[in-house]
Amino acid sequence: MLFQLLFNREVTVKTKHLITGLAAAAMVLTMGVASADERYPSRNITDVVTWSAGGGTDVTNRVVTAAMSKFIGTNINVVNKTVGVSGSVGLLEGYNAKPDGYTLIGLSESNVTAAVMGGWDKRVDVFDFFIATSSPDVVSVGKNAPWNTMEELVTYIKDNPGKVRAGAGGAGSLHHINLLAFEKGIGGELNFIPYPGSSASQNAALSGEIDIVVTTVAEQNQLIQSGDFKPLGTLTDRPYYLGEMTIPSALELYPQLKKHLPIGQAIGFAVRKDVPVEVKKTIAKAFLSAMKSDEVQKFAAENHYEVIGEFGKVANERMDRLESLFSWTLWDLGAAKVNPETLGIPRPE
Amino acid sequence: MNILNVFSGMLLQIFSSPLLIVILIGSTFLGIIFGAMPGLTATLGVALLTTLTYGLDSETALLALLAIYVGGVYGGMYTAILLNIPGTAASAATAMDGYPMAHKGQAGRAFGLATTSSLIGSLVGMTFVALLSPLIAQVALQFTSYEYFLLALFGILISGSLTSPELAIKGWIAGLFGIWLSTIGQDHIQMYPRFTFGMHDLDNGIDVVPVLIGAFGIPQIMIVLESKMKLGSMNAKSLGKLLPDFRTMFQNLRNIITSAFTGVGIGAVPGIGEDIAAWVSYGIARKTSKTPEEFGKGAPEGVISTCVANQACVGGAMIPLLSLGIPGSPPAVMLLGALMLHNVAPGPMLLKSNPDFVPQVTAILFAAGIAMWICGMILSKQVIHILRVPQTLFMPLIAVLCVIGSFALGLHVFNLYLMGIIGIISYFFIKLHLPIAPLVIGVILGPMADTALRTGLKTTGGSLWPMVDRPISLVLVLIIVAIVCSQIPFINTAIRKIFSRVKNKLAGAY
Amino acid sequence: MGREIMSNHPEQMQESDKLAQKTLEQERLIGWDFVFSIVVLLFSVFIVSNSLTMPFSGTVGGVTTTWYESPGLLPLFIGTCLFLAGLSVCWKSATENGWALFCQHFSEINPTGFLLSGGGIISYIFVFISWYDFFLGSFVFLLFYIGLYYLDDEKLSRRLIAIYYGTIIISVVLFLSGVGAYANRVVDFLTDWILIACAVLLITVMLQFATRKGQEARRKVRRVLIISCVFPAILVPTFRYFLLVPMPKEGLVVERVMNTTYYTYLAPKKQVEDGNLSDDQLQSLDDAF
Repeated sequence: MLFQLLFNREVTVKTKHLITGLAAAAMVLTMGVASADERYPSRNITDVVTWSAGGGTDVTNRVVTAAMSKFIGTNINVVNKTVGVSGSVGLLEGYNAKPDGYTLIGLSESNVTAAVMGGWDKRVDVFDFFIATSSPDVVSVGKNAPWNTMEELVTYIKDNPGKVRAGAGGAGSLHHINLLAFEKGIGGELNFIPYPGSSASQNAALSGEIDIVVTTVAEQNQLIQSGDFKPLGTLTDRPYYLGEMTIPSALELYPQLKKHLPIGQAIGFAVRKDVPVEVKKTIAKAFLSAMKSDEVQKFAAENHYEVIGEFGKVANERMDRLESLFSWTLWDLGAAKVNPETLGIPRPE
Repeated sequence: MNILNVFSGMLLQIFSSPLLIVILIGSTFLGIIFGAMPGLTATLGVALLTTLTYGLDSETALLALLAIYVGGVYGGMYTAILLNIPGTAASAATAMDGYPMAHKGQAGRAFGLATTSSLIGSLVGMTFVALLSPLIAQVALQFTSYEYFLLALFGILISGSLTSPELAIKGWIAGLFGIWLSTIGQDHIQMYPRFTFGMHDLDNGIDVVPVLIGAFGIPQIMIVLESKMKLGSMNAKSLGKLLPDFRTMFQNLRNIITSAFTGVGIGAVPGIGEDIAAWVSYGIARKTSKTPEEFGKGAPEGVISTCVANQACVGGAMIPLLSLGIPGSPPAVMLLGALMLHNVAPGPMLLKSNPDFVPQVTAILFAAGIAMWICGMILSKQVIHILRVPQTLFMPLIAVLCVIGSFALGLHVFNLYLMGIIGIISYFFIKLHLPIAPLVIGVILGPMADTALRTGLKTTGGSLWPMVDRPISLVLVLIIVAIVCSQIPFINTAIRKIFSRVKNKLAGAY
Repeated sequence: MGREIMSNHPEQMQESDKLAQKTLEQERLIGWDFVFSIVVLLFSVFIVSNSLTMPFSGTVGGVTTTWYESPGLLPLFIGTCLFLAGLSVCWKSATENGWALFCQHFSEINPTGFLLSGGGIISYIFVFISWYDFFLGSFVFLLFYIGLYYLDDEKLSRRLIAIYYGTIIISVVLFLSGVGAYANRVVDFLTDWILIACAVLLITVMLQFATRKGQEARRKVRRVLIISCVFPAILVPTFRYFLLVPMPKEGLVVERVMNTTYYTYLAPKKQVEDGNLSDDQLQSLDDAF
C-alpha cells in the first residue's frame, strides 16, 4: 500500500531542500514559455461531444476521430459534456476554447436549437462544420398494429384526427420536427407524446403505449429486422434498403410532403470559424481521408448510416437551413424561449 | 448441447491465454477501483475505457468492458462499508448495513459476505442470460409508463420504511426533499423550467452523482474530522472473518433467491439499473425479514440482498441488449456504444448471424464474476489496512477524490457547487436525525415517477384504469397496497392474526 | 453543536450520566425539531406558490396540457405533503415545549467545528476549484486541511487558518472585482502565484512548528507535506492522461508543467498516413473555407 510505504519511509533528503528544489524546478519550467507556433498538430486534440456517451453522435464521433487520428498524426480524445440546453454547455466550452484547432465540438442537428431555447446567444454561423453521417427518419408501427402500408395509416389518421398516438423523441427534437412536417404534409392530426429520447419512444411503441414512432433507421434497424416494427415509409426522397427489405419513401407516395421534407439528420463536429484556414484544411484533409477509410465505411454500413462527408461552406449551408427550420418551428409552436428574429435567424422559405 | 460447447470453449480460450487473463484481471481491478472511488461509477468506467479498447479486437474489448462493468458495480461496496461514503448509488444501499457492521468490528465479514453474494448474483444473472433471454426480454418490454411509475412509487415508498417508526415522518421529509430536488430543471415532457430561478446550469436538472457524493461523502468527512474520530471499534485487529461464512449464506437462501430475481428483473427493464435494483431488493429483504428492526444496525441480510441484486442486475441488463439491442441499464448504454464502435451491433440479427454470441457473452460474464471474486478476496485483505491510517490524514484525501469524482462524469464545475450545497444541507439533516438515504432515493426515482405518470395519463387520456388492467402493473399495485397496509398498524395486526390462524389450522391438519 | 454531540464517548460515562446525557440530547433535538419544522413549513409554502405559477392548461412546447399532465402537478403534491409533514413535526415539538427548549439550548451552540470542517471543503470547491489551477488548489487545500486536523495543535491551527482564509479573502476580492481576470489576460496564469505564495507560507509555518516541537512533530509534518504533494501529483496525471478527464481548471502546474512535459516528451508519437485523396477532393479543400 502506498500509505504504508510513505509512512515507513525514511526520507534522507531534508524536506526543506526538497521543497526548494521542487519550487526551483517549477519556476524554470513555468518561466520558459515555449508556446511557439509549431506545426499543427503538435499535441492531442480534444473532441467535446455535446451528447451522452453511447449515443449516435458520440459513437460516430469516436469512430470518425479514431480514423482521423491516423491521418492527422495525433490522438483525438473524446470527452462528453452533456449538460445544458441542446448541448449548450459543450458548445460554449468549444466556443470559449482558443481558436487553435485543438478543440473540436462533436454535435448533431439538434444543437442548432440551443440559441432559441435560451442555451446561449450565438448562431451556428460562428462555426465551420464537418458533417460525417446521417440516417434517414422512418415512420414505423408496432408489429400488432392494424396498418401495413403508409396509405392505410394516412387514411386512418385522416379519418380519426387526434386519435393516433405518436412518439418521436422529445419536444423540439429532429424527429418531432419531422413528425410535424409529416402531419402538415398529409393534412392530418396526431396525438404527439413526448419521451425523453428516441429509445424511450421506441420502447413505448414496442409495449404498445403509442401507435407510431418516428426515429432514424439507425436507431430502429434491429427492431425492424426482428419484425417487432413494421416500417411504413422513410421521410426522405428515396426508398431505403434494409437487408432484403425495401422501405418505400413517403415523399414519393405523397408528393405534397416535399414542401416540408426532407429534413435530414446531420452528425459530425465543428470548429470555430476563426481557426486559421491552414489548420482547418489540415483537419478537413484528415476528415476526408477518414470518410474514405474502411473503418468509417464499415461502421456506416453496419449501423445504417449514410456517409455524408461534407465540410466547410456546403456543410455550413446545411446547418444554416436546419437552424432556421428548427428555430422557427419551435417558435411557432410556442416552445422556444427566444424569438429567432432577435437572433437574426431568417424564416425558412 | 451447443450452448455448453461454445460456453466452455470460450472459457477455455480466456483462461488458457495469459494475455486475456491479464486483461481480465486488470480490467476487473480497474473496475473495482472505479466503483470504490466516490463519484466514479461503472457507467463512467465503461465510457472512459471505450476509447482505450478501440485497438483491441471485439471479443477482447467485450471481455475488458464487461469486466469493468462487473468490477465497477461490485467495487462500490468498499468505501460504502469502510467509510460510509458509497462509491456508487447502488452501493448506498449496501452502506445502510455494511457500515454499521464495520463499526461493530465486522468489516472483514461484511466484505466477505458482499464479495460472495456478488459472485452468486453474477452467476444467477449469467444463467438467466444463457437460458431465458428471449422470454425475459419479452416480459420486460411490456413495461409501459404506468409500470415504470409504479416501480418508482414502490421504491419511494421504501424510503419511508427505511427508518425506525418514530423517525418515519422525518424520513418522509427527507424523501420529499429528494423528489423536489429531482423536479428542478426542465421537465422531460414540455421542457418547462421548474425551480431554475433563471439559472441555465439548472436547466438540465440535477445529476445523481453530485447529490450522492454531497449527501453521503461531505457530511461524513466533516463529522469524522470534527470529532477527530479514530473509529474506536474499527481497529485493524478485530475485523472479523474474511472468508464467507456459509452458514449465514445458507440461512439467507430465500433472501438471496428473491434478491437475484429482483436484480435480473429490474436489470432487464430498459433504462433502469443497479441503483434501483439494490434499493428495491433491500426494501423487499427488510419487508420479508423476520427481524426487520435489525436492518440499518448491521444486519448481514442487508449486505447480502443488495450485493446479490447489484450483480444479478448486470446479467439482467444484458438480456434486452443481446436479444433486441436495447440496453437495460445506464452502463449497458455505454456498452452498446462500445460494441457499435467495434461494428458489433447486438440484437436479433446478430443472434441469427452469430448464434454463438450469447454463450460467449455468458462465458465472459462468468469469467468476470470469477475474476471479481478473486480480486475481491485479495483486495479486501489489503483495503482493510486503510483503517490503520489515521482518519484525520485520510479524510481530506477523500474530499479531493469526491471533488474530482463528481466532476469526471459531466465535466461541469456547477456539479461541484451543487455537491457542496447538498453536502451542507445533508450535514444539518444528519445533525437533526433525518435519514439521508430517502433523499438520494428521491433524486434517483423522482424523475421516473413524474415523467412516467404524466406520460401514462397522456396516452390514456387521463384514465388510471390500465394500471389495474395489465397483469404486471396489477401485481405492482397489489404489492404497493400491501406495503401501505402494512404501515397502518391496525390492518397489520389484523393480517398477522389471520396468518397465524391459518398457520395453526394447517399445522393442526397434519 | 456538532462537536458536543459527537465528542461524548458513551463507554466512558457512568450509567446515570448516560441517561442524563440522553435526555439532554432529546431536549435539544426537540428544540431543533421545532425550528426545523418552521423551515420546512416556509419551504413548502415556497414550493406550492412556485408550482401554482406553472402551466396547468393551454399549450406548452407544442403539447396541449390538461391538469393531469402539468409540470406543476408533482411539485404541488410535494409541497402539500411537505406542509403536512412539517405541520405534524411542528405540532409535536410545540406540545413538547419546543420553542422554549430551543431558546434554552441556543446559547450552547458552538459552531466552530462545523465552520472549520465545512468551511474548508466549501472554500476549496467554490474558490480554489473555480479560479485556480486544480493541482495547486488541491495542494493548498490538503496542506491546510490535513495540517489542521492531523497535527492538531491550537497555535499552529490559528496560524494555518489565518493564512488560508487570508488567501481566500484575497482571491474573492481579486476575482469578484475583475482584477484577477485582467491580470490573467496580461500574463497567463498570473493569479496562480498567489496559491504558490500561500503554499510556501503554510509550509513555513508547519516547518517552524516541527522544529519547535521535536522529533515526533517533525515526522508528522513531513508526512503532511509529502502526502499533500504526492496525492494530487498522482491523481492529476492519472485522470488527465489515462482516463482523459480534463481538470476543472488547468493553470500554472497542470497546463504549463504537466501538459507541456507530457505532450512534448511522454505522449506516444504517431505516424501520419496518407489518405490517397483524389485531385477533385483536394480541390474541394481549397474552396471550402
